[in-house]
Amino acid sequence: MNSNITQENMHAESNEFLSFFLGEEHYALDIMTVKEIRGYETVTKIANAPSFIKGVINLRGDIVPIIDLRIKFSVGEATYTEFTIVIMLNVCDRIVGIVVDGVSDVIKLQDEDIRPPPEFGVAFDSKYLLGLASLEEHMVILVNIESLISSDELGLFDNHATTKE
Amino acid sequence: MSIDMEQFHGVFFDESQEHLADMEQQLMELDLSEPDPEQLNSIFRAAHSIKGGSGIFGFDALTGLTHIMENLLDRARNNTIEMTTPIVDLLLETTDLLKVTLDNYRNQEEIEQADIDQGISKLNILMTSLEDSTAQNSSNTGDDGDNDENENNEGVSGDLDGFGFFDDEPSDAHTAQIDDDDEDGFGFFEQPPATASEPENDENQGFGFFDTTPTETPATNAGNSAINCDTAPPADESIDKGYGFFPENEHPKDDPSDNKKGYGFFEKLPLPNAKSKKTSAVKEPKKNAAKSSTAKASVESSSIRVDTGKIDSLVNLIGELVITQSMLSQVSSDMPGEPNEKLQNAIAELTRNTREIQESVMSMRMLPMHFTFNRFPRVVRDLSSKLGKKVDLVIEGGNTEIDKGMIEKLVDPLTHLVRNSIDHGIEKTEDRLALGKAEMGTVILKAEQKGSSIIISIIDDGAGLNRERILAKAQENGMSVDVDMPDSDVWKLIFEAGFSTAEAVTDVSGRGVGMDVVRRNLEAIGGRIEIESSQGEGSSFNIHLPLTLAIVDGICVSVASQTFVVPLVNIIESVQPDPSQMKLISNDKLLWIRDQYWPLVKLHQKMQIEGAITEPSRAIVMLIESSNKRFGLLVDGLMGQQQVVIKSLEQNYRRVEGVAGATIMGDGQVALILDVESLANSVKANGMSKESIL
Repeated sequence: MNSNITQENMHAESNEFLSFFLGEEHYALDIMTVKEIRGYETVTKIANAPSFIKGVINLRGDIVPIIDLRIKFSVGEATYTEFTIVIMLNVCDRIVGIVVDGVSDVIKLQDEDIRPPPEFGVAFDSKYLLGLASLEEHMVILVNIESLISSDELGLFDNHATTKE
Repeated sequence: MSIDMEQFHGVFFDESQEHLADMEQQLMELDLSEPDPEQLNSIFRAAHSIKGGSGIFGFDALTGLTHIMENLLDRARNNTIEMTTPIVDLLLETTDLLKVTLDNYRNQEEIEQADIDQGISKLNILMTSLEDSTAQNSSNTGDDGDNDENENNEGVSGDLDGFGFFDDEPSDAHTAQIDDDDEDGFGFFEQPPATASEPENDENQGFGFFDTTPTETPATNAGNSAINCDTAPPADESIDKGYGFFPENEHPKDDPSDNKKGYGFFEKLPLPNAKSKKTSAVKEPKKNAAKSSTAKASVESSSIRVDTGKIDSLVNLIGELVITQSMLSQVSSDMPGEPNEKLQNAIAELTRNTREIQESVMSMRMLPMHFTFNRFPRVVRDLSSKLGKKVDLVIEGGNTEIDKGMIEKLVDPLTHLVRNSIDHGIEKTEDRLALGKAEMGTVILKAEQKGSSIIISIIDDGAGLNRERILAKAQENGMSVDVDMPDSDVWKLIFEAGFSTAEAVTDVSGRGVGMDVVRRNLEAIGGRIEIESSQGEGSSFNIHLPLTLAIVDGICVSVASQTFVVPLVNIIESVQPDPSQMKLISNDKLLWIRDQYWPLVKLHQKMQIEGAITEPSRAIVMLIESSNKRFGLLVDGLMGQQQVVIKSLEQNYRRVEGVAGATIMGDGQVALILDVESLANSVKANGMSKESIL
């Protein structure tokens, strides 16, 4: 599941997104980047890491960093309960887990359903957004998870994600 | 009609490389006063194999060189010429040239034709000078046809090298095979029409361009299949020596008396191949032939070439299995009740099995130290003759097994150390005699396994390190030294960059680059080096290496609720300090122990962990030694020693200061493996280096 596939999916007519909650806000990301969904488990802390990097966990032998976007973007409250969910993503040939408040649904969107993102008003910088979509009553914020995860802002990877093991 | 020969190139290169290494080794071992005919034979066969293969693939430079080499060797094994040191020298030189040429072909680089020609003419000159009236081959310069004929002529007189061109001349094949007891046939198989139609093949030299296995024919060339089917069985018998282009068939060394080797060009067919060989053996009237082909057949199945990538992934998977298994046993030990007992028994069984699997998978990555050591007789020979010293190299423990990845990385440091020992360690012959030492200097290269580490020692009986000179040199270089420093610290100075006490720079050593590189290279593979030396008696460099790269021996330590792994190699000892041992320097605590002050690194501070024990006298201090510093590491407690599988943090995340990697503990939790070197750097940052204290 590399960036090419993701890109192609972006351009396909109909795309599937996994929607999730951060606090009260409704977000969605390209389902092709999702590796799996798990419950939150104890992490091993990493020294000198920013607070939104919770630490690393063992995902069947891979050491995977866990990021709490709620802390990074100050949405909702960073609480960890038995219902706290971690979405394991496969982006840029890496595995990264993000903590969310809940996963709601898989939604199908046509290209014309997606509106351009607003310049302001959401927690994320608009460069990390694909657009907005309305689903029944709600507004869903479509996140370009790949550009977000590999962004310098998160500083997850050395050298702009170019170094691989 | 044509098959892609490229696919065989890789195999040819690999094998030729092995043959060359083998040849070199045999040449080195050759006892000139009484050459072992078997050894000469096997050198000859190696040259022959390379010649054969290179002929097929059209690597003419190799063919030309090996051809004349082969002629020379052939005479040597027929006792028409006597092996002497100059001959061995020239042959060694030629193997070097072959290596270079082989690499050139492999990398598709330009061939140094001038070198080749020079090599050939050197051999020719030697041949001519050794020429006696009976041999007419001296004029050969690499023209295959001629030579083969000549060789066959020789063969009539008892020792024939048949080049099995036996496509269409089965009767020839028979003849060749019948009056022959030491025959080397070639089973080539290429796009045969050209060769098959060549008239000269009708001569009594045959190049079996078809391999011996009848079943291969359809795959090779439909046009010739009829001939091949007819001739294959006799050809089979006549081919005495094979070029296993595929590993199953290739064991030239395993049975030195065995001149029958198969040419397995196809991996899929080891069985028919072996079978057909047996059949041939039955037809073969000679007893030894029958014996050797059976032996051959059994050997063929004993080895297989596997891509190292596959083994690596197996090693990884086993690592996972071990972790899963220990998770399982932890879960089961928490379970109450009677079914638990059965479960525990089953898990105990599983534990044993997984451990065995792990060991055997690990052993697949292991290679004997021979692979590294074997080059050193040559190094020592060349160097000692260059320096005019007499040096005897003793190799011990060549069977000690070590991770393949390390073998490759050990070559440079070891070469450097051995050269160093000969250049600086061993005295000149007259000096040795004056000192009442044996004329012959000795360098011992030794490998042994001690616990979970491998120790490789380079021991010489030379002059030993010169303490005064090292100290003087260190002062000259502006290093802070103390005349009362213990020897071990003085010896360590030579690993500093730019440090050389050699009085003159030679092309062997003395430039001062090297020892620091040696140390860095060794540290890169998790090793360290220690020196023992006594003046006038010699010195010993001991390299301590972990058994494998994938697993580290460590002590698990706890800090608050977190677990860390400290590599065992870095730990000197762990103590619970007495409050009286704690000293203060500008609010930083120092530990006074072993007649030294040790700066303290608080792990909880470094790793930003709350709730840890901060008072050293209630906690544990591990005395840690990195390559350049010593310090005490403050931790809450020790949890025990364990072998852990190293996992990369960078794969999904990035490098973290002070952390070498991560591992997964029995409970599935991740523990970080500390990087002692980078922790040590932070000691310096605080201005607390050992040097400043002393």
